Amino acid sequence: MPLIPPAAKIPLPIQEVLAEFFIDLLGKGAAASKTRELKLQPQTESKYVVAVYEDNYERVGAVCISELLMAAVGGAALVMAAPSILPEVVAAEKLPENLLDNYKEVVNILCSVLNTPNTPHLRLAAIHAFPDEEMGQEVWEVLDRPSNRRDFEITVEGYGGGKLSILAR
Amino acid sequence: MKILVVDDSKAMRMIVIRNLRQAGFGDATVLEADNGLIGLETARSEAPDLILCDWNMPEMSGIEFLKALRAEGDETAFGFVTSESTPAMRDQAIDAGAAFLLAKPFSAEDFQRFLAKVA
Repeated sequence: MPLIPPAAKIPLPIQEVLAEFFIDLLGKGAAASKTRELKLQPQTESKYVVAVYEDNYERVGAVCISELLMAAVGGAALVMAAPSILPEVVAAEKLPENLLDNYKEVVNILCSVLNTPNTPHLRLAAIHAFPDEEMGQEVWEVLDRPSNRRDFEITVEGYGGGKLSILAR
Repeated sequence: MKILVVDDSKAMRMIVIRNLRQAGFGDATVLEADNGLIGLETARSEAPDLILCDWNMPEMSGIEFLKALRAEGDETAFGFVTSESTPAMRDQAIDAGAAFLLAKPFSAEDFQRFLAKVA
């Protein structure tokens, strides 16, 4: 039975890389700047979207937390939906299914900024619109005690933006 | 020109089609399929000039689609446009007969450069 190598540290992107990612993906201007930490508690309802990235041994390598507005902006901008839908999402404090589906694509492709030739390959394993204990202990361990984290404020031209944090195991 | 875009994400198909138009393929007839099996059926019936295909899809993956196509003797130009990209996947794609594997996200310039190889 082959030995499973120890989990490696995942390098996290700098703000310039993240900005370029959104510019290329969304085809419009975008900016990323550092911001304060996003703190997540269980049962925060749908105010956050949590994306979980696993390695080839199904170990959590990184987690991405997006504020509700960030997820809505990403999901809307990806398909060039009218920005006028965003205030409704904020008022309802809930991400509509179509925007969640679109944002799943955004965080799926976001994995590309976590993968390097010298670190284990990560892929999107799950996305949670309702952060809670069902995410599993391993995810909460990364959320509570990451080895590294970067917190960003993302802005997308014509849409506004929100906070997005990437935490490494 | 007829181009077949195969991806299980409608959002990503929209983005690829948008990029096709920006790359100067606005006059092309664009067909869509949301998995490799439908892609294969569409390729057989519509004979596209170019296929742009995702890798991970239900029913039939992109690489399975390409291998099935080549096994039938179909040499239609084929490129992968995928969110997941490793050197092993690139090698597998080229060995199976793909002209390129372009990782998402890509800029409009990247897209033009890769399409110039096949169209």
